[in-house]
Formats: sequence, structure tokens, C-alpha cells
Amino acid sequence: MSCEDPSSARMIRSPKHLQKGTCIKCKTSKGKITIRHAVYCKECFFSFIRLKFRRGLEPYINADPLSSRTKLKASGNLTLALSGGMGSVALLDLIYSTYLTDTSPVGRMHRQKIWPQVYIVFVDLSAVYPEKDEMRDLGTQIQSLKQRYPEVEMISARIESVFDRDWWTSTGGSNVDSSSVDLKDSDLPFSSSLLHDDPVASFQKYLSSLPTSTSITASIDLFIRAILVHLASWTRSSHLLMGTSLTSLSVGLINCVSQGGGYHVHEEQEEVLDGIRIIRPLRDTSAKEVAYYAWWSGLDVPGRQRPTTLSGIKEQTRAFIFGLDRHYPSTVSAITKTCAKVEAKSSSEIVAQQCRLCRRPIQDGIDAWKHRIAIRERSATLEENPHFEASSSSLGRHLCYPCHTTLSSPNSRTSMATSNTILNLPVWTSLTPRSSSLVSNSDPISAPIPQAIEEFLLPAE
Amino acid sequence: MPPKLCQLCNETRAVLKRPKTGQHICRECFYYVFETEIHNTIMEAKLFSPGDRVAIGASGGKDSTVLAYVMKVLNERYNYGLDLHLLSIDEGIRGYRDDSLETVKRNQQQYDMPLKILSYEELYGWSMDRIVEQVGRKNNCTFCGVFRRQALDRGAANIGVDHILTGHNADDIAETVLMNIMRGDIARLGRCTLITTQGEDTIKRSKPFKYVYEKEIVMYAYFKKLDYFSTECIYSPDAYRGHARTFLKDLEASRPSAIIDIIHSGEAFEVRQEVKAKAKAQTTCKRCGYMSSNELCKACSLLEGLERGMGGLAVVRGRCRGLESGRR
Ligand SMILES: [Zn+2]
Ligand SMILES: [Zn+2]
Ligand SMILES: [Zn+2]
Ligand SMILES: [Zn+2]
Repeated sequence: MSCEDPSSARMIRSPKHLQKGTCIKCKTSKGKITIRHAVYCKECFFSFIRLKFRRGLEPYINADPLSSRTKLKASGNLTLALSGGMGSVALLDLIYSTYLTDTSPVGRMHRQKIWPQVYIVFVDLSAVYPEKDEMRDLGTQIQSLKQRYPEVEMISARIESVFDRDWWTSTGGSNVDSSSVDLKDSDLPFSSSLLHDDPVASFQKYLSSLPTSTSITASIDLFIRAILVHLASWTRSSHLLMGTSLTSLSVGLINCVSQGGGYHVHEEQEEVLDGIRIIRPLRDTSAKEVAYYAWWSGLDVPGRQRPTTLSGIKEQTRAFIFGLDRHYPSTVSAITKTCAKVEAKSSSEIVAQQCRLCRRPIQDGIDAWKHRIAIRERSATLEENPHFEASSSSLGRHLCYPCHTTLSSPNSRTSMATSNTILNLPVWTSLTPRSSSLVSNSDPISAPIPQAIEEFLLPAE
Repeated sequence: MPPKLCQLCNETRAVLKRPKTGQHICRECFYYVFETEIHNTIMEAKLFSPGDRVAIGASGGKDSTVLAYVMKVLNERYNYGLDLHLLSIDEGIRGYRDDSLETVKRNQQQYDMPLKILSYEELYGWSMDRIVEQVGRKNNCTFCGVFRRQALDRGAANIGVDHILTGHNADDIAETVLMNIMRGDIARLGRCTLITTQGEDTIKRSKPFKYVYEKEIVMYAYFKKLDYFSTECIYSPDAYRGHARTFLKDLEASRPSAIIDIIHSGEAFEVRQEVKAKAKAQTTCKRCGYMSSNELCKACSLLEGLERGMGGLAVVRGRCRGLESGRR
């Protein structure tokens, strides 16, 4: 069934031998790096990277995108996600050298600051890898890395904080809930009581109850994002920046699609939550370029090696994309270009329910869709009524497709465990819909919103 | 340990682990879910009306053999009222198609459906074996794809059918979703998950196996002892698609639902097919007289290249780009 594809011949293989010559930009210096068939000297490489970085950030700084770009002024502070990996370290350096030092061209131009305060947030993952010492050391290494950038404030948070109601409240969170869910049933029965109250235990129980290692990685990513948004909100930030490179963004997008998140490819690239814009200024810069930038700038990359104990769809996607990148270098940018252009069908709908875990929109009719194409029950009621509806006390119907898959889709070897499948949910999970935790500073919507749908609306872009 | 009971009926011993859901089920329940899900797909898409004449594109392989069998079963069970035909294309691949056509001829007897066979040789004057002789193995799937598509359409017209069913399964579709994202083909991405598509002509093509796992097709054919030809096409697909296929298999091993999860993602990008063929001035190919939106139809422009002895990539790149109406 594969012989139908006339266009695959168009995939162009990269030349085996790259020619080093004179820089394509200044035409005088000797070339040092080849970026997609073009040779650059070191200096021109730096200005090229800086240009792409500014193009990826500055159009999004002013609250009103149409206002003049010569005067950049954010409506709040800046939060930068710092994992210690190559991208986030390079991003911090670019932010600092471009906007926060007097010697930089933009720094001089903008005497008054674009953001009143700049924060970096580090999420400590040692609870994920309790046996790995290097994960515990990472926090200290990040601290010392931070010394290089005075004026920047650092906040650390532990990944298990998503189960820590005291911490969540002390960092400005309201609407903190206690609830648990049973994974045994794919409808995911919900209960508003806790098993116990220890965040580390809750976190580890959560991870160990998940059906696949794909789900573990997805949940960790979801928790990190929730903590980042939460702290960005607490620090009254208008922007949350991620050091995602072009290559990582492609991995993220294919990972998203592979886990049923097609309706979220837009959010995967940029989204607004609680009035905070999540931006990836390195989204046009490949992992290789980021690595050269870090290397030639003499940056420490403490989080270079992430433990690779987990293996699931995200890790497979990473291996696949990095492998393809070697032979078909146009693939990585083709992926991001495709996903930037496509419009998920849901974006035309005005009212979408928010997923109680990831807070992205939920599409209608997922239950019926799943029951139609993958019959899991053979009951009389189901045969009479294929448009199956889950009961109202189930979390399942309040989750988006990928989150539901994360909690319920089994792996290929074992069926779901039959006992001990009840786990605590992160503090923000609740079945009652609610408005965002802080007053958002997003653009006001001109027409009045009917009260009944108000809390279902996402902050406007 | 007592034998495990079927998770669906709780009565019979489970004999298989269902690839799509991981459930342990009995044989009868497997038949039930396999057939009912296809029926659900057909009903949801309102694929047919009573009295429709429908052709099943039959290659003798597992997908189309199971498709022919299941369509016959469902047509009788649910009174679809369809007039079912088998339609086969003889690409002229020695040791592959000649043998698989024998299977199709047996299917014709077994399922009691009329069969029509059309060959590349009689349609185009070129067999696949001769094309490969000329262009080498590199781009032969390009030719085969264009030729087969048109051959099926002509065959359908020939037997008075305007609806062709193909055996594309969920794995094929998930793979195509990934491929289209990776090569930036937004037009194709927008239609590759549609259950029914319509090209420049008036003939509809539908994929009732859109949500059916390849592994379950093999399983169904095995349990039902269906007669199919199991050798893969000797002219294998290109390396790039091969990578995508391996990747998909890895994902499925990690999480069996990955295949439908990807199709679900693909459905987010679906673009309703507006009748663009009508908007664009529809003409006929000046060479063969077949419907075409360009001076030459796709098949004829490939043929011209072949005859000029410049098969290969030059033809594919230079001509197809302008010819694919869906492409921007
Ligand atoms: Zn230069
Ligand atoms: Zn979600
Ligand atoms: Zn059974
Ligand atoms: Zn023609």
C-alpha cells in the first residue's frame, strides 16, 4: 500500500562532503561553520544567531503587536525556563547580552528596561531519578551558572511541588484542590479526597501507576510546564521563555502528534496561559547552531546529559528526528513549517472546554470517537447506543485526548495492573470549572461574553 | 492457573491479545469487534446508499482480500444493498503480480463477485518490469502510484462504477500523516485522513479500513483462513518512507494506541475537500483523452518522459510538481 507516493523522491539528501570556504556574509573571513549549505565565519555566525533570536522574540514583546517595534516595553516581568540544557543556557546568555548589559547595542538603545525584572526558574527533577546523584548536583551547578548574570533572580522549584498544596498556596496559587483518580477504569473515576498528603510520595505513586513510560515522560513535561506557568504568574511575568531549538521543537511537534495531540500543535508552538505568553525565541535555530553558540561563547552546560533511564514515544521521536537530521536536514525545518501553517479544526470553534490537567482545549465527541473505532465493552447498552457518554463523576470526559491517553492507554506487554491504581492528582485538578488563578493581562475582548461560557474561554492571543 | 476468560464476553477462553487495545479476548469477540468497528466507520461516514455499485480494488494481498470478505459479510448482515465488484490492476511484475492475480481469481469464485482485470501493458504499453528496466529501482513507486491510480479509475469507468474501496489500513494512514508533516505537504496532510476522496474525475475512493490495524487484518485473515498472497511488492518503497515506517512500528511497540492517536491528530488538520476540480477548468488529456486538469494527464506526462528515455528523477520533479493540482 506504499507505492502511491510520487513526491517522496523530492526529499533531498545532504551532500556528504561540506566545503569550507569564505564566509557567505562578509565575504572576507574564513568560514568556520556550515549551516544548511551556507558557510559562515565565527563573527557572522554570532550576528546571524542573534538576528534569528531577536526575530523570534521582539515581535511578541509589546502587548499590542502593532505598536512600534523601536520601543520595546513588556507589560510585566520576564520568566525564563532554565533546565540547564544547551538551549536554555544559550537563551539566558542571549537575553542577558542583548537586553540586560549596557554594552550591548539594544541595551544602550533601551535605557529603560523592557522587563522590570528578569527571573530564571529551575525545576529540580531529583524526585524523578532518586538514585541519580548528578540530578541533585544540577541545582547547585545552575546556581553557580547564574553568578555570570547579575540582576537576574533565580527561583527553584521541585517537580513534586505539583502535589504540594502549601507550596502552591505560598507561591500565589488559589483554587488549590485535593483529589484523586482511579486508573483501573478508562473513564477514570474521580474522587475529591486524597490518599495521603506527602508530595514526594504522591509524585512517585503517580509516576509508578502510569501505564507506559511514554506517559511518565509526558506527565513530567506537563508538570514542568505547570510549575513554570504558575511561577511566571506569581512573579507577575508577561512572558515565559523556553530555550527550545528548532530541532527540539520538531521533536516536540512529532511527539505531540504521535500522542494524539494534533489539535494542540498550535499550543505546542506558542500559547497564552493566565495572560502569560509562552515564547520560544530559538525556534528557528537548530540544535547544532545552539551548540556552536554555547561552545564558542564558553558557556557551561550543566544539564547537558539528562539521564536516559526513560524510553518511550518522546525518546523514540528524539532519536528518529536526530537521525533523520543527519541525512535529510530539511526535514526538521519542514516539520516546524508544516505545523506553523496548519490550522487545527478546533481553532475555529469559539467555545472549547479546558482540559483539567494540561489546560489545553478539549474537542467534542472524543468518547464517542474512541468507542466507535476501538470497542472495549460488549454490553447491550453500548450496542444500542454507540454514542457512549461517561458518567459525570469521571475525570475522563474532562481531559483532552493526549491526557486521557497518558492516563489510560496500556503498553504492549502488560495489561493495566488491577490493584493499587488510585493516585493523587496535581493540586490544580478539579471537576468544577474555574477561571484562571490570576487576573490575566491579556487583551480585553470587545464583545460581552455570556456568563455561562465565560470560564471556558481561553485568554485571547 | 485457570485459563483467562475473554475480557469482552467473560464466557469463553481468551485466545488473543488484541493489538489495538491490549485486551485478551476470544475469537468470536475478535470477529465481532473487528467487523463492528468497520461497520461503525461506514455508518458514521455515510459511505453508501442502497443500490450503489461499488468496486473493491483487489490486489490479492491481505488488505484487499480481507476487505472483499468483510464487505461481503457486512453487506449481507446489515443489508447495505450494494452491488460489489472486484477490480484488479496487472502492473506486469513477474513473480509478484502474476501470482497474486491467481489469488484474486480464486477470491472471485470464493466471494462470488464479478472481477475485472486491467493491465499497464494494455493501458500504457509499458509493464512495470519494463519501466524498471528503463528508470531503475529508484523512482519506480512514483510511476506505479500514478499509473495504478489512473488504471483503477479507468477500470471503474469501464464497469460502470463510481466508487472504489481500497484496503488502506490505519498503519498506512498514520504513516502518511507523519510523512506529510515531515515533507511539509499541507495539501496532502489535509486530505490523507479523509475516509473518502475524490480526484479530478468523478470517481470516489474510500478507505473502510481507516481505523483497522494491520496486525488485526493479518490476524483476521489467519483465523478465517482467508486465501491471500503474502509476498510484498518486489519493488520496495523508498528509504525515506522506510524510516517513517520503522519509526511508526517502534511507536506502536511503546504504546499500541499510537496508530489511532496519530490518525486522531491527522484529523485535526483535515480540510474539507471543496470541489476544486470543478472550479478549475476541466479538460481532457491531449494524448489519451482522459480527464485531466492539464494538457497531459499525470500518467501521460510520465509516459512521455519514458519514451524520450529520460525516466527517473528529472521527469518526476519537473512534471509532477505542476501537475499536482492540490499542491501549492
Ligand atoms: Zn563573515
Ligand atoms: Zn490535557
Ligand atoms: Zn469473548
Ligand atoms: Zn493522458
